[in-house]
Amino acid sequence: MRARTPAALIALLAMAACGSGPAAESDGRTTITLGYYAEAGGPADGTMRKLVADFMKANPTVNVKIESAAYDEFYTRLRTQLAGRKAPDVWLSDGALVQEYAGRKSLRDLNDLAKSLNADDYYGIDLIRKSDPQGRLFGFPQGAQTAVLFYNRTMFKQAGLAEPTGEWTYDDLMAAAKKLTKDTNGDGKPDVYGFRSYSKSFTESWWPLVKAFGGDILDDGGKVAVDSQPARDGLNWMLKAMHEEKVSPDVVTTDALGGSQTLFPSGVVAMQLGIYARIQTAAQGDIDFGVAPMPKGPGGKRGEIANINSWVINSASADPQAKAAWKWIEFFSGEGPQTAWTQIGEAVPINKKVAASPAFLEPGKPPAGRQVFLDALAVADDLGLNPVWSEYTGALAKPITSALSKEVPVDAALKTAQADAQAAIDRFTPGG
Amino acid sequence: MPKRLAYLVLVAGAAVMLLPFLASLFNSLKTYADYIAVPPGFLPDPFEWSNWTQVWERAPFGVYAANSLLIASLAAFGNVLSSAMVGHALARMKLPARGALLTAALATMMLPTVVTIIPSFILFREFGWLDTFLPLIVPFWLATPFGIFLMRQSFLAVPKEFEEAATIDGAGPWRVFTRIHLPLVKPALATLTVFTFMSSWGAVLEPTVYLTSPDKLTLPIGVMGLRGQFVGNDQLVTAAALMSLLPILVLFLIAQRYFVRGAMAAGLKG
Amino acid sequence: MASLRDRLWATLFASPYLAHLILLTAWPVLALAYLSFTDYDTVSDPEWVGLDNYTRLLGDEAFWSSLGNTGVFALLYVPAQTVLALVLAVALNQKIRFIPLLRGAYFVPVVSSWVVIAYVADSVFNPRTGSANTVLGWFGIDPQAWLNSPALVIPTLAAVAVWKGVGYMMVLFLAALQAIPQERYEAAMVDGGNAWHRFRHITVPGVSGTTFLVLVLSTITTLQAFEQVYVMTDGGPSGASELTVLYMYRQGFQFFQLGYAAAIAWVLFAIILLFTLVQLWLQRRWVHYA
Repeated sequence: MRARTPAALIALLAMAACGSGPAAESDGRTTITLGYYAEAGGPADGTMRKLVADFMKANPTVNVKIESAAYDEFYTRLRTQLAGRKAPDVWLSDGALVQEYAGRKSLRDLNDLAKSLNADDYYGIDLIRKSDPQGRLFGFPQGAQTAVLFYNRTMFKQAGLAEPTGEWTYDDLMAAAKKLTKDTNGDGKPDVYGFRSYSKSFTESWWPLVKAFGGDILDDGGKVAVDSQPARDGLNWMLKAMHEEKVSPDVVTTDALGGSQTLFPSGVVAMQLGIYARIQTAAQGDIDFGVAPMPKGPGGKRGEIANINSWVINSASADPQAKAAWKWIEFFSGEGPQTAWTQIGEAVPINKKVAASPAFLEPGKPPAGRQVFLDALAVADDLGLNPVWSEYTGALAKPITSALSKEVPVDAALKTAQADAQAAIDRFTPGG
Repeated sequence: MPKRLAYLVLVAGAAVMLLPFLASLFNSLKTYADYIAVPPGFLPDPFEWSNWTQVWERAPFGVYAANSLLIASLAAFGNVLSSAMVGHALARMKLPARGALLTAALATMMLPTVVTIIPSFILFREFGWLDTFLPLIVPFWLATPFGIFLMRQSFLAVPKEFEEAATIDGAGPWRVFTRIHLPLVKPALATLTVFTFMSSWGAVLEPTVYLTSPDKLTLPIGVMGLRGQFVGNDQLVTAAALMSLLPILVLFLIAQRYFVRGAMAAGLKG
Repeated sequence: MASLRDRLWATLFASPYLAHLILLTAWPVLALAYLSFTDYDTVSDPEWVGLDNYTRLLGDEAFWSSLGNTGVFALLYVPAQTVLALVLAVALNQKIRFIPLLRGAYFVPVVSSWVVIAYVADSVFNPRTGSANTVLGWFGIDPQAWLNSPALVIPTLAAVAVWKGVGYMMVLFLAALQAIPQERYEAAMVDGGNAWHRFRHITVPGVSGTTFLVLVLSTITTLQAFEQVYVMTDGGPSGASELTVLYMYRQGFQFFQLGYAAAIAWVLFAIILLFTLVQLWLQRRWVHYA
């Protein structure tokens, strides 16, 4: 008995210790790990797995191991994987994060590999290049996100309002929002709002607003530029919508009611700025909705921004893995897979042919007129990307959110935001 | 305290303890539309029983459960064995610098894992242990302060006569430990087993930092992984979370007295 | 009498913990000390920067506000937990029926992991769907945003922490109560003391050792409140529940500034040490050992 127990234990410990180890490649196949974020078992996950299976069928020499998780978990895990030098060979990076990995030398420059494709056939390559100080290509577009104006058609009809047009300004939006705001239970406070102005996901909130009012987050030299009059105007417009006109839920209420995830789909707000992926949640809420171009600010700007989610290749991966990974990227960018990806309605396809096809433009589900996404994308600016994206945008978001909650004055908040965000950028020195 | 008041306090308190579990159970059986409906209903309408099965289709919950079970079992066994050995050395053996070791154990009790997680991560990376279960198990095989105190306490209470009789019969220290003393402290062993199992089962920080492959995740991490970015599915995640509670709840119902005894033992040494 | 052989055996028995002290105590503390003087992003080698991390810490408002948040959390959580646990223990110490059943109810949150608690608590404190606002509505009080409100987030977290932990502390007190000799109460009854008098002069001093332990354990819990906050709010809304341990984790594992994170860890060490010393001092003054 005493002799057997340790033996069994050692066996168990060995089981516990069993690492994945490099997969056996005696059959001449190259194994790569592929990471992406998707809700487990959701449509994106299912489609991606099917595409990977198709890819392996088409490329019998490549074996793909999938590592997927929901968004937050995926990036938490990826960060520890990078710190532990165990990151996948190729992964789907939120466009905003590509420079974070590139700045820490975790990514391979895809310039040479990308010569196999004609750059003009795809959206987003320029924006990725633009975000790198040396114009290198650290990611290849996977799907594009850009914000437009979402509106609930039923609520517009009930209020007897004409639907938003491309000529709308933020004044028009405010006027319509006033008519859409309602107190349905008679407690003297609105419970249905015209417009959601604040969101934790700031690319659907203060970021485009600051730009539409003529300001910017980073200037062309990469310096923080939010301490400006246009930025103050943008935030003041939001404050007016939330606290004076009360056509928007305030910051706390917005988050409390579930943010951009549930406010629009549940019919609590009639309008919101939303990225393409919000179509999925809106569809879940079973509402009839449309999309329109972003409203214009006082100077006629709309402040369109784009986030190009990208495939990136690990700089630590050996050449055969990198080449196999590139094959996957090529495959995914092709018409067939792009059409399949379009059907789940998660991102604007980066393949221009597919984006111009009925599969994208007329999928037979709301919203109609998806061309507005392409129009926005064509003129959209990048997000002011750099290697400390998470940190510097965190430093921006905190004081700005406080200002929008009326805890601090807008002036002071933007000064703090400017100083803290710039400090985060200045602190970063590229690793040697 | 008058008995009637005692009942009132205890029953009201128990309701506060348990009603939220009931409410979340109902939430886990709602459709998404029902879940986000304003005003909220307490009972699901309709009962969406498929939420509980859907979770299994979305994520390999069996794998997560097996991983959690393996890790928690090995952690519990290792902690009981090692803490008993160290506690025995402190209570019943002629250990040099005994006082210093006891102080050191008290000091480590004050060092939260989260504070030392960065150097531990670097250490285990150098060992090549990342993305294996070892960083979640091996520390428990090196004894924990709580385990040491609990076991020392129990061994101190064992009368000397047993040991003396065995020693006269020629038994060595290992034999005295395994054959004479361990059987006498079984309740403490059980207590430490359930406590270690429970804390390993529910851990969030360590598995988040050390495990990355989808087939190596534990239940809590698997549950958190269900939280979607673009889609509302909190009713499903609630179902998954409650499911991950079931095994530990069963263990608790079976071994309630050991949970309580462990807590009480910890209290008495104050 | 203690032969070399005996001592060797004893050391062998204690060896797991000796390894523990080297690998899991000494190494982290020393490594953190070194790292706190470096710039380390986990990819390149650590680079010596002298006191830079500590000077940055002094001027880092987010760090100081995280310390403030931790303090507020502790001030709300520790006393509430201690008082409630004692009250429940006194109630449970009566000769009443269904003790295991009642006691079991209080242990269900104790054995639940924070991931479970997060979703169970959501059914109460979710501003839209939670029952807390429904209950407030019965009394005509406006709905609150709870974890989404900068003002309420820490009180709400503390309430959830008490709810989860009170059963455990209750049992600690129960053990102490049962160790108080019954004769003392009987003597007090003869002297004509009322219930409050007995509680104040017999029960409270009788459990003072456990009170001290509960205070120590609760304080440690607040410093370890990482998992709760990580799972439930991730420091939000806009930093209002960012506790120091979470801030440290973020610097280390999110921003890859391990040197800075190490400096924060050292400050935490210092604070924990300070608290331990203060509590030891208080123990000497307060605790009546019967």
